[in-house]
Order: sequence, then structure tokens, then C-alpha cells
Amino acid sequence: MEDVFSFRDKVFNVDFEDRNDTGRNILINDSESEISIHSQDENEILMTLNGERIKAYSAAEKDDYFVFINGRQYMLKKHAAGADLSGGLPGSAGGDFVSSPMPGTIIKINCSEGDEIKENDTLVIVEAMKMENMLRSPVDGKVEKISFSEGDLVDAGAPIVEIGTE
Amino acid sequence: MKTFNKILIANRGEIAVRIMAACEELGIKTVAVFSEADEKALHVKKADEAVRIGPPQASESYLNIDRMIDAVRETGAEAVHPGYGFLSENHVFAKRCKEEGIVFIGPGWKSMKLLGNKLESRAVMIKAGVPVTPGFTIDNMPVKKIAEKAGKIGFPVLVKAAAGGGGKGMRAVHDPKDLAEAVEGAAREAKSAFGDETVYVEKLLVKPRHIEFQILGDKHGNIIHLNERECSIQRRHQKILEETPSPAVSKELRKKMGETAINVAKSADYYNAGTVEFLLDSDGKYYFLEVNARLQVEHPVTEMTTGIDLVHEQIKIAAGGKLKIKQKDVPQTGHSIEVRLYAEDPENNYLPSSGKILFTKEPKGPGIRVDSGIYSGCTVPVFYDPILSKLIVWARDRNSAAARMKQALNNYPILGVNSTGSFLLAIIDNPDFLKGKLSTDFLEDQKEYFDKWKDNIADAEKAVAAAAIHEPGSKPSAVVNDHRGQRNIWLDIGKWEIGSSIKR
Repeated sequence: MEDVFSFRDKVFNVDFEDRNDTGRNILINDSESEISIHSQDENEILMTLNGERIKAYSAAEKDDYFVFINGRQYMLKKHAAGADLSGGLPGSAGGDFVSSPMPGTIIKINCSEGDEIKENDTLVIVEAMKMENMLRSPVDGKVEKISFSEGDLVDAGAPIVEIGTE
Repeated sequence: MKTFNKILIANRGEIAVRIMAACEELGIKTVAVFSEADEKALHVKKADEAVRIGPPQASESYLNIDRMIDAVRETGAEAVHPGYGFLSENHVFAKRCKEEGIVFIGPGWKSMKLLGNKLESRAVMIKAGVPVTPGFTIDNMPVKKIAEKAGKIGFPVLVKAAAGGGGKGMRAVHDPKDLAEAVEGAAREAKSAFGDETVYVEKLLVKPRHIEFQILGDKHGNIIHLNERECSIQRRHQKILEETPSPAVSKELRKKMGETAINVAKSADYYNAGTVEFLLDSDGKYYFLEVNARLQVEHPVTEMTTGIDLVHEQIKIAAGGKLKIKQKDVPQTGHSIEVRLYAEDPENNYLPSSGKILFTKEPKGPGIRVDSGIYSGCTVPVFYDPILSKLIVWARDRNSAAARMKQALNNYPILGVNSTGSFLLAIIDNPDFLKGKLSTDFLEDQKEYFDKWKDNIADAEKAVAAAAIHEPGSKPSAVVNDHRGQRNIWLDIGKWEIGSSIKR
């Protein structure tokens, strides 16, 4: 069965295939590699991939997969098997709204419903971890809906200001 | 010596944990305080007792002086250690402790108040013969006069708020025609941020190094310094990597700057641990910047190279003890580097990250120290400074220390939230860093290098492979192979013993 992962805007289709002698092959976007797993527990994997020995740490929560290799963390998203991602990744296709990239407190809303706005106008300021973050409009348009007030806590990704573009 | 029976630590995260460890070593009971967001935080688990002090917002918990004093009263602690940040440099809190008969583990409130005002402390230092950056104050001075005086010290100049901090109320001016606007802007920002519109002008040094001296003073007038730390690698005035000794400080310069640091401390009647910060010019001239009247984030590198535990010393000094170490006996062995792991995304504009740490494992080995505030399964709240932990290494010399840091960072997974670990590795690997060519503009000067690092995602496919086999048993043929890639049944048969009888 195929797994589908994405990293940034890249999609990876993964499949395994038993080799007739020992172990398995892994197919990533149809390119085939030999893979051997030497040891594996909940969060640590020691494997050889195409002749290279790799120590990786991994963890997952729902569809979010986190893998640490050579000092760097890769945040991957798992998608439903067979998902058609040819039209782009869900959520990343610029919905015309402004949301906070991390949870925080709204300290200022610079627009009102009905305002005409320009691309890059700062619409909302969110504070998280003692830092102010300016949320700018991705497009020219008109403010259609504001779903929060100053002082509210917001989750990452929740639309704060929705923008109509006609 | 006998110090205290019980200390309340008015802080959270890694520094609270580190102070508690020192207390435990000295046989002192510890009290943690925590906000509602920190109920399951590491520092709460580490303490002998813990007091809930309020809602998540720092202003209503870790910065709430009344609540903090109540917590001391409730638990019968005799002293308060403020750590860094929060109330650590709040002279009102220090004074209040004194009035309430609680020992504040830090300098006296008057020294703290003086050092908190840049303009006042600058005046005191000038009087004491301490070199400061050339500059002047502006009291209703006409713009023409300001430009004339600024021209004399030479552009570029910096317009700074007297009550400033954290880069607020600060403007760099490279061209005299921008001066009037910068003065106005800085004053406006200073007024709204600090309620004080006083600004002054000083020379802006080009590509200086940040060199600071650790000092220790007791209440009997003895003051020593414990050598320098170099903290030139900064982002938005936030230090990222610190080390000692500095590749730019010779033995002679160390002696000279160390004496100046002691002079600074004496001029402010300073006791307890503190840090005197300087900027060092490329021609070897140095200028007083400010005093941090507290324990610093980067104190461990000094501990690693001197063998002196700064928190132990702080506690003894606060209890009235005399410094036992003389200046000439301060050791300096090997080289130490510290990096700060922040919950920020270095690949996306350093956006703060919060959430659950799904898994972490600290690196171990000779010369490796981790001062951490996290554990697998803990939550990183959005309300506070995003520091997760500090990784500190020690080795005989700078190159070996850098190699050890690289190895340790490669083996320090923090999964589930973003952290700056990979970015720190890129710094350690940077050719100019390895040559010791540093300045406070390091990150901007190396922009091309870091952009290249960001775009190098060569390991992404390996990460995908690891993710695909992440769940054990999820794949039909999870074959265990030995190191030659051959299937070895002895490895997946489970526990076995030769000749053992089967018990039923």
C-alpha cells in the first residue's frame, strides 16, 4: 500500500516492495532503493538506505511526522493514500484570508469589515512568545469578515480576516 | 558555610531548573512558582514544593511582585533567586524584598536602579574614567547643533533612548540629513515604550565584537572578574552563541578590560554576580556598553573554564559570605561554547513555535552539558521567552570545542516543535566562525551562506523513508537485518538462552 507524504511543497509517494533475497526495497516517487532496518524502537531508527547508514529519530502526531536526521528536523505531512495532490497541497493554495502562523494573542487589528486593502497591508498584529508578528494581506481586495477581536487568543491557521477579491 | 534553609526561585524553564540543582548541592530546599500554563513544567517537577501564582500572562504571574512576596511568605523561604529576565533586574522588587526581610539573591536595589538607566550609568562611568562610546545628550538642542556635534564624533551615529532596551527607541543614522527625523522618531518610540522621551547620540561602531566580563563581588568590597565571554553572534540584539575565551582577546587585553570591568562594578557599589558588557573595535579599542545586574543566560561557559559554580557563589554572597578566590587564582582552562536552542523556525523567518515536544533526547559524553527546561511530552507555552534549552561544550581548544559542539548538536533531537538546532549547526560549520572572524554583523554578512544552507534539503528523501517506517509493525515485512544487510534470525527471535529449560 502506498503512503503519501509532503515536505514544504514537494510530494513523495512511498511504497515498499519485498526483495526475493533479504529485506525490502523502498520506492520513493518511483525511484527504487534498497533499505535495511537494523534496529527500531518507538522514536529511533537505524537503517541503511542505498548503502548509506542512517540514524534517524522520528515522532508523529495525527498527520504530522517529524524526522531528525544529521542535526536537522524535517516536518512532513502524511496524506490519505491515493490522494490526488496534483492541484497543489491542501491549505497552501493561497486562500484569501489572513491567519496567524502560530498560536498567539491578537494585539491589534488594523482594518474593519468593508475596508479596501492592498497587498502587503498589515492587517493584524499577533504577539507570541514576546514577539510581535505582522500579518499582511496576500492580495488586493476588500475585508469581508473579521472573526476575532483585539485581545483574543488565536490558533495557528485560523482565519482572522477574510478577504474578497472579486 | 551555612547559607539558607529554603530558597524560592522566581523564574521558570531551564534557569529555574539549573538554580534548583545548585540549591540541592548546597542542601537547600527549593520552592518553584508556576503559572497556570506551567503546571506540568520541568521546574515544577524538580522543586521540593511548588506554588501556583496566577494566570499564564507573565504580568499576572512571574512579574507579579505582590503574588511573589505572598508565595515566599506562604512557604517560609528566606531568600529569592530571580534567575534572568522577569523580575531579575527590577529594582522595585529588590527593594520590596529588602523591606519585607527577604534576601534577594542579586545586587542591591540602588546599584540596580543606577545601572538600569543608560544615561545615568554612562555619566557615572565617564566620571570613573571608564571608556564609553563618544556621544552627547540632547536637551532641547536645535537640530543644527545636534548635526554639528554628531559630525564631530563622526557618522554613522546611533540615536538611543535613555530608558531604552531591546532595540526599542534606537535609530542608526548614516547620513546627516536623516538625523532630525531619527531623533524625533526615537523620542516618540521611547515615550510610548518607556514613558520617557530622553534620547542621546553616540558613535555607531562598525562591525564591533561583543565582549563581556563576568564579575563576582561580595558585600565586603571584594570584587574579581572571571574572564571574558564573546557573544558577537546575535540576531536582533539577541545572543545566539557564546564562548570563552574570545579569539580576539589577548592576555594583555584581558587584564586591561578585566580591570575596567572591576572599576565599573566598584563605581556602582556592585555585589553578587554580574556582567559588564563592552564593544570591541577592530583596532583593539573597547567601550563600555552596560551592566547586566544578574546571572546571565551564558554563564555556563564561564563555569566550564573556571570550575567556579556561579549560582553557588551568588547564594553564598547573598548570605553575607566573603569571596574566597583571589583575582590571581582565577583559573582559565580550555575552551567552552554555548548555543541557545530556541523554539523558533530558522527556515521561516524565526517564527516562534509552540506546542508539544513529542520526543527529545539529550546528547551525552565527555565535556557536554545540557541546561534544559524540556522533556519528551511537555508543552511549550506561547506566553514566554522561547528558550528551550542550552547546549554547552568544553574541550582543550576552540577547534576541538567546535567539533564537539557539532557532534552534540547532531545527536540532539527535539521533535514536535521547531527549534534552532540545525541553524546553530550551520554556524558551527561556517568557515569564518571557525577562523574566529566574528562581529555583531556576522549573520547579515553571512546571509548568502545561510540562504544556501536553508535551501539544502538533501536529506528530505531519507526523512520520508524514516517516516514511512516510523510505526513499528505497520509494515508487513519489518525485517531486521544485521550490519551486512543479511537477515539474521538471532536478532529478531527475541530473548533466548543456550541450554535453558522451558518452564511452563
